[in-house]
Amino acid sequence: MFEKLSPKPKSNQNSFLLKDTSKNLNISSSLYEGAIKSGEVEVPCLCINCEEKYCFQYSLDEIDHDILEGLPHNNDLRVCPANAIVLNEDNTLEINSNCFSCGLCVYRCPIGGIRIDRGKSFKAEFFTDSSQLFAKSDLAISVHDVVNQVVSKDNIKFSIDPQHLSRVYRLLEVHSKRIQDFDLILTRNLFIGLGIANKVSAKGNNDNRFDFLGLANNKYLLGEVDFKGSDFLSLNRRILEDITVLNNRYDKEINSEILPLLIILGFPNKRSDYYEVTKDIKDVLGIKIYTLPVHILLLFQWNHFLLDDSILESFYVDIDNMSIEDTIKELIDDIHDIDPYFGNNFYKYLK
Amino acid sequence: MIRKLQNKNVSINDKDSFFDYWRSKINSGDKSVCINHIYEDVKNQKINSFYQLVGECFESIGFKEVSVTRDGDTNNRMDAIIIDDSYSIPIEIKSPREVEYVNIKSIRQALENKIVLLSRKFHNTTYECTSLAVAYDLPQDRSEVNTIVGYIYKSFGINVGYLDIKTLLSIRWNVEVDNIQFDLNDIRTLKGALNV
Repeated sequence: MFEKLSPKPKSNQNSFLLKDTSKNLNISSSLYEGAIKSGEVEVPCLCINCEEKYCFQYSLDEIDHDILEGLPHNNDLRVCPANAIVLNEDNTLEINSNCFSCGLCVYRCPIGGIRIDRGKSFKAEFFTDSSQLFAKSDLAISVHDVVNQVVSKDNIKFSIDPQHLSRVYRLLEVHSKRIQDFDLILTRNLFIGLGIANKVSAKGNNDNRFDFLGLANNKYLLGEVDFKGSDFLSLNRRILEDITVLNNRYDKEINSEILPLLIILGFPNKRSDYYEVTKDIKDVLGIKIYTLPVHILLLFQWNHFLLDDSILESFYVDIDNMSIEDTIKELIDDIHDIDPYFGNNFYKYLK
Repeated sequence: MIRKLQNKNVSINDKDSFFDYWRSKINSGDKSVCINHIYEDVKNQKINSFYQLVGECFESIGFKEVSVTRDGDTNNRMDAIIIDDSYSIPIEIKSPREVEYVNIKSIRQALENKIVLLSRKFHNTTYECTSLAVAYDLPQDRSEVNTIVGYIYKSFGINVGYLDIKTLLSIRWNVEVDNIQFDLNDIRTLKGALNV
């Protein structure tokens, strides 16, 4: 129960709406002239070291979707694909220098307790002024004790700028070489954040041929994920095999139920036969294999998109159309200003 | 253009000389003994030599024109192709130095070769006419490979067949030494392994 009055959030800080609950959270009155008995109060976003640890891990239900039940998949619960969020022995979390500011943790926290440092590091960091708001307790506070209504997340966002993106792109390449499963976990978690239930394979598990399997509007998003960029032609070959497995073993119709998708870091150079072979596949089999650079998923996340299959179908690239620049310009107005890499191989072939 | 196997003791214009050479070398006229010796010898062959041997074998068993690409030639997408007015057959070759067995990857590549040929039409072919994968040995896990071959046919209507070098040499022996004619349609419509 909260009593009046109206606290003012700290300037330049995100905030969320806290609704009345029947539980007494023993809120410190240092920020407030009083407390309100009922109604809403605008509260500055703060990390409360919740017991759910949303920023750190998913629940099993969130990653074990009923897509082709029984299909083996990666059970790794981590939110941060770079293993940058670490759980300490005292049950607190900290963020280390592996952070590449993708924002997954920022969007996971339902009460905006994390932000991206806009200073030099661009690293994610917790708002840790919680001692001023919540009395210290030996028990971890559940987020659900604090928020029992849908919280508006419109205030929980950060602006994207060229410096931030440069850091993200650089570290995407570094981490994809260094961290096991980075590409798969990043892909999975971004799609989850964009509203698409999915599973990704576990490395070394040969029972599940697909790298990625999602479900959007009753269409199966069947994906191969590769950030190394060493052999693009093998991606098309793998996808074709994946399609036959989904078609024969799981009885899914090729053109109406399956959307094949390659999730990559950047496009191959112009001389690669990848573009021609993709067109050959379309002409001979009537199958379009879509190509989605992973940074597009990040841009979608930062712009609060919810994905569906129709948006993904605008990402078709072959020898007759070797660029996604026009597609992105239609989806994100100010892409020229935001992304210093607009025009390079994250968006089209290299010459 | 076929580049003949370079063997000092063999006249390159005499196609019967291939097995004559081996028979005199090992002093045996037995088919399986002879083929086993060639099989062991081929294991350490350079990639080019293996490709040429495969091409020669197809020519010897009755296909009129076989084109083999040179190792390192990245302009040619296919390792070899049997050229025909209507039923050209792309061939994906894996030499023993690359990989010993026909595997899923070679089946995938055979599928891609067929798609490219159907699309770009530099030689005539049909969906039902096979696309081949040839390697030193048959797959270690034949059921997995056969499953994918079956799936490819059911999903795309494309046949993929595969052969090992022993089988190919055996057919060649039947034709060259025992004068048994080989029905080329057994290869043209091949799906999965060839039973000899």
